[in-house]
Amino acid sequence: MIILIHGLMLIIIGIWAMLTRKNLIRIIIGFAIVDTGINLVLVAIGYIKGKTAPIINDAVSTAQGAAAGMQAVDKVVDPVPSALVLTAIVIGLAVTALMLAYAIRMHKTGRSLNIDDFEEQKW
Amino acid sequence: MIKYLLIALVLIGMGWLFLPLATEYFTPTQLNNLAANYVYGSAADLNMPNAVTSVVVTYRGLDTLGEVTVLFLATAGVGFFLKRKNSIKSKRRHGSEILKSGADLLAPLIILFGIYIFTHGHLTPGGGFPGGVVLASAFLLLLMAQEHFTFSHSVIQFTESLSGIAYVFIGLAGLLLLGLNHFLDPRWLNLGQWGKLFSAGAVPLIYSFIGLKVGSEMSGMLDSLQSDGGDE
Amino acid sequence: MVNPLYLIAVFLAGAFLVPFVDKADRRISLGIFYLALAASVGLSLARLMQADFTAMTESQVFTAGFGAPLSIALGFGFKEAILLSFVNIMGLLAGLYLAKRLARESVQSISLLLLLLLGANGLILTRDIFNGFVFLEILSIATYALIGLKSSKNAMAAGFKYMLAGGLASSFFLIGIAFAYRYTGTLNIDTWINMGVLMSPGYRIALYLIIMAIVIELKPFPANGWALDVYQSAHSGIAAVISTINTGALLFFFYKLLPLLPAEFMPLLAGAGLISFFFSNLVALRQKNAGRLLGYSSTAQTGLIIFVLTGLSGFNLSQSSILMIAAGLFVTNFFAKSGLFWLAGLIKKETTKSWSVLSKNSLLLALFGIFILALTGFPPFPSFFAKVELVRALAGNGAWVSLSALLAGSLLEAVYLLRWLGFAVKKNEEDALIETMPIPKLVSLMFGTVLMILVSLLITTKVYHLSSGMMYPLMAFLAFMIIDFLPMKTKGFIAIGLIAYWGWMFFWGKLLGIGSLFGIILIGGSLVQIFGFMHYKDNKAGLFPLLVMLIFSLGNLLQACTKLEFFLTWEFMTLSSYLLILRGKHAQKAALTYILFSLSGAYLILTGLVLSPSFYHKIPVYLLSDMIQMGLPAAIFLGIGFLIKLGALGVHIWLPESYTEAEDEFTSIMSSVLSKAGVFGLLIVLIMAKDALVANGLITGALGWLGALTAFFGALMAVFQEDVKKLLAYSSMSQLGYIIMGFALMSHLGWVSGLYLAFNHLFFKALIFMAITGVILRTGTRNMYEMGGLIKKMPISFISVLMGIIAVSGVPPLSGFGSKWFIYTSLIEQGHYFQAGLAFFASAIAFLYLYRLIHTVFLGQAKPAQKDVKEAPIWLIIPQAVFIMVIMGISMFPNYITKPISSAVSGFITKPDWLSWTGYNITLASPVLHGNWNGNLVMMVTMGVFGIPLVWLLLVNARVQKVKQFNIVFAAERPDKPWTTHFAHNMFAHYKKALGWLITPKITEFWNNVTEWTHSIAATLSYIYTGNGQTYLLHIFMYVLVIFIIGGVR
Repeated sequence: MIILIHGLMLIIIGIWAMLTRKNLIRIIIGFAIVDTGINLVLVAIGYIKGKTAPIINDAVSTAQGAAAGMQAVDKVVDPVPSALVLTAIVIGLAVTALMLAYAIRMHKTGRSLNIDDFEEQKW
Repeated sequence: MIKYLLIALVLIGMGWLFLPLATEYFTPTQLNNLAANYVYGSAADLNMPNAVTSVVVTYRGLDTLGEVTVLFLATAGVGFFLKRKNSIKSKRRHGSEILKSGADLLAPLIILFGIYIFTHGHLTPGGGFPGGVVLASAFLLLLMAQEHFTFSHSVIQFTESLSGIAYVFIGLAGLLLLGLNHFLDPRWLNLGQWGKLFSAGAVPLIYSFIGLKVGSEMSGMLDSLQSDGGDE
Repeated sequence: MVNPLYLIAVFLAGAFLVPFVDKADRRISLGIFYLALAASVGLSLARLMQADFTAMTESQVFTAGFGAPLSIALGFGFKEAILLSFVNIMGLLAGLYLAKRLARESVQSISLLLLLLLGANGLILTRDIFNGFVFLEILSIATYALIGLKSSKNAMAAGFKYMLAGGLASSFFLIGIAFAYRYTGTLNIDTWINMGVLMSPGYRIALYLIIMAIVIELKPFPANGWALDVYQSAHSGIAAVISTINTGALLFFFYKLLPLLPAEFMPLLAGAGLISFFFSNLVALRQKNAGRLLGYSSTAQTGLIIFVLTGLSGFNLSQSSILMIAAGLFVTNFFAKSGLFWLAGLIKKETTKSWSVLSKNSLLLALFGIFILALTGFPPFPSFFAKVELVRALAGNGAWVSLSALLAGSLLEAVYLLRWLGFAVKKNEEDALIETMPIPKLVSLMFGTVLMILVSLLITTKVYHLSSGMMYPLMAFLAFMIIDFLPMKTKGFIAIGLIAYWGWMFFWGKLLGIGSLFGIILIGGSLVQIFGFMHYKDNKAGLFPLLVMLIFSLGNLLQACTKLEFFLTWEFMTLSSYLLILRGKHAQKAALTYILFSLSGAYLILTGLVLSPSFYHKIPVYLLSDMIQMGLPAAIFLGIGFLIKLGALGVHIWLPESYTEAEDEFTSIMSSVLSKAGVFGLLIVLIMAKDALVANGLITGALGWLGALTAFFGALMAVFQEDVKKLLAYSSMSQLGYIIMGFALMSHLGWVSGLYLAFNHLFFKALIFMAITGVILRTGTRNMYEMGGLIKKMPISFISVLMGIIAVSGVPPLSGFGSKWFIYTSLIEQGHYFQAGLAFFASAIAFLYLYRLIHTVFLGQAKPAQKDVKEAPIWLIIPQAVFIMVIMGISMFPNYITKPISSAVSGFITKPDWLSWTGYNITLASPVLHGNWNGNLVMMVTMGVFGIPLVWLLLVNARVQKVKQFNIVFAAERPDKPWTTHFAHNMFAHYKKALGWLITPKITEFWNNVTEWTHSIAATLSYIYTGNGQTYLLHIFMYVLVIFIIGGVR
């Protein structure tokens, strides 16, 4: 619950940064914060009160195969959000990396990192 | 000024929009149906202790294939952007003595650790992605420590391409050996013994290739970013 | 079943392999690239071949050997197969277009393009929402990266803005998925749909975020500044991909998610789509940059498709017909937009005005024309049918606001697209020829065009089951395009022979009642005038194909049975006549005005057709009188539509300009034949709404006055023209006013008089225009004060004009007298004394301009510059001779034509007993009026009366006249502006003083103001696009929040 609220707050903070900061790098950082917030929300959603990670080790069950599965169902948290968050992190990383690459090239072609200097096309 | 007012309104608005999501939230006490099926099926059908891995690599394997692709895209995109015409290598600073010796000592260990992580993805926390990143961190360390350290681009590209293709073909193997609906099904290999390294069918194989691919992609991306970092 | 995973594997393997083999040779990697693209096309086509066309079976494939909610499912049914075939073919063409670029760019670009296609394919196939997210990201990231193909500062800035917006959208999407999973416990779309809609607010917000993320990716106005920048600055090949492949995949994903949404979301999305359509088109009005203009057009089209997918769900429409509408719009945009982007890349001109380079390259110009016309929604392109169906759905369900927005938006779209076409055909000497034409680019362009035409024809014949006869205009056009290299005269004879044969086979003796009358006017009238086009020595490319198409569509108006056939034919006619006008040297603006008024008219006609009761399948429209009676609303829509075609006062703005600027021979056809199509339409409406109109009375009264005023003001305007064609144009307008007046009476005699005048107008206006065409050809000017004394140089033309003006003015003995006499008597007979008075006054004014016409052109002093002028070519004389003979004939024997007219009319309004046609005699003996006209007798008497003085005059004229020293015809000329002192200049200045206040162009001013206001609104709106990436982000947030609040999603 707390993680969820923190995640949502992080998202809003990230949005604030994306809307107000003028420096491209800071805008990208803002985006990264939004991303982190979303990942937190995802993780929080999979949490189930008092359960452990969905990996069957001795703490969960000492049985093997199907029997272990039966026991594990009552003892672990939801594995789906964990799987999703893995994908989301990688995608966030990819987008951030590409944004940074863009920033580097923009700095080279436009000699500036201020987003207000890239307004030539309009209307 | 109006702009700041609007921004403030937007932030409040977004908060207001998100509010029911938080207030309606309650921590559940039980797995939902799908998740329970995953946890049970992971052990029962796939002989895999790590349910997250079974979701990532098998049940939602197509997502992971896409994810690997996204990473590949990012590498390709960054490479496409930054490697265009610069043959000039930017100057790197010397690494300190501590860094140098530390790197020499740690790098092989880190690489080994990375390999361990991705080969044991079906048993323990971790898997191809963290493993790959650990691998790449070793290269980053070397990159920072040694002034004249360069990767062989062909080797990186070779690993990247081949592991990608291997992943696709492992997926197709399921399709060809097991039937129409079995793309990325790891069960064309023996499911093996519970908890052993060579178990859960093709999962360790897939995670190894993912690890190699992620490692080489991340290294490649780091290389692109650092070699273009400075001003012309 | 073809496994969709092979598609995914092909792209992935290709993309992973390419960087590896590139070390060896670029040719190998390009080979793999094209192999993968071709394989993807093959796979999707193979699936399409398998698909059962009658039952649209859904077929799914799962992964990892587990069933649907556990594993990820891919759907590869009929819809997916069709869309994927298009997308992958476009991918192949785009790859071809970029061939040269990819050969020298770093190898990653090849992988990126393959992965972009992977993303699009996956997005279309997947039935899992999170998997959809992954493919969406693959698609987006590949696109972001490929925008870098052009490394200019603007492209970089645009790409970055795009990334910010896209990143934001995917953030919304992910948050939405996370919470939706929390509420439903599934990620599979089908399982989710089966669960139904949950009522919790949080769940609705999650859904809202998911769908808005896709909507934002679809670039809705006003949250789309970033997208416009991308369209403007990205490489043309990539812009084409974004506007076709990305949009297609996203739209399909959007469509897949629709069943998840609660019903209340639908109007919101529909509204958003329609707003995007209308305002994007509005803002585009002011746009001068070609790429950005295409961007606006793209977002508009996407908005319209969103509207179709969401807005029609409330109506009683089957899912497949909604999809068919969307598909029609999509396919047209798909090929036309990519083609336009590619053209933009080929000619490398930024501003739309500079596209005049195309006028030097007829192949590219033809392609450009096809794309523009397809986008505008002309038949036979699928967008035409989609819009017809759309209007039918909206008007049929009384969705008037949506319908108005749709039609207004379409009109705005037509404005900027057709204006652009106008720029392109305008010859500009400074333009250099396009020399470098890379073959691969041209191949993509040609192949895309051919494919679009094939798909269009397939849809036209297979889906809408139009009879082959309705496609004759198009076939004739294509056939004449093929033989367009032949000399003018050969083509002319072929055209005459073909049309004569066609008329003989399908019309002669087969038409009934008014059909046969209009058959003579529309087909016979144009047939004679084809001769007029044959005097050209150099080959006029494209003239005959269009002309033949026009004549065929005019004839088809009489064959059309269903509403769709009628409207299709009407649009063929509009299209061909527009392109013919556009051929005039300075006709760009006039043609634009013409087509805009015509399109507005067509939209009104379409709406009217939807509102009217359905027509029969096998019975031509004009015969439906007794079987169909429509209500007043339908009649009003249709009536206004046809009045626009007629050029009635108030909507006549297009008429003088386009008559003047069209090629001279074609003006003749426009005035004499084409305007009769409007007459035909108006008459049909009056017939089909007779009961309602007679019962109401008010509308026909207003129509009568409209006709009277049109007649009066047309005549008045004609008086003050210096341009001979403009004078005749206003004269035509005036004459059409008389016809309207006659029809409005709703009496037997009134309709007879209207139809009789329609015939007469055809003969004498064609006669005069043909003669004047010769004069303009020889003198090279249209200004009457620059002519004079041509009677000796062009005696035959003089006789034609003389006969013509006698006929027009309505003095005995020629047939014009009869038509005027009919009008006055029928007006008085019905008690419309004021209208009769006004009509009479208008006829008096007609004398003024007719006098001016013959005097200033043929009489008076010859101009030195024109001393070597010869008689008009024989080809122009032939039609004149024919028309003179016809006029003489019907003047002598008026009953040969009035009798058939009367009997045709009596099918609808019975002939009163007091009217009789016997021998040469027409007798009226109504309670209020008695009259008698014997054309033959009048002719004999007049010929006697005029014949004797004529002989005397000829004798006198033969003597030499000495010019005295004090002859001041050329005295006191201002050397700089000699015409200001010429008597023919401003000839009726004294009348102008008295009546000038009547002709202040109030109506023109009104329309100009409309244009100006629209443009300034467009300008103001366009300022929301500040160019700042953060402002665009703000737009997106505000867009999402405003719709959230308006829709009351919580």
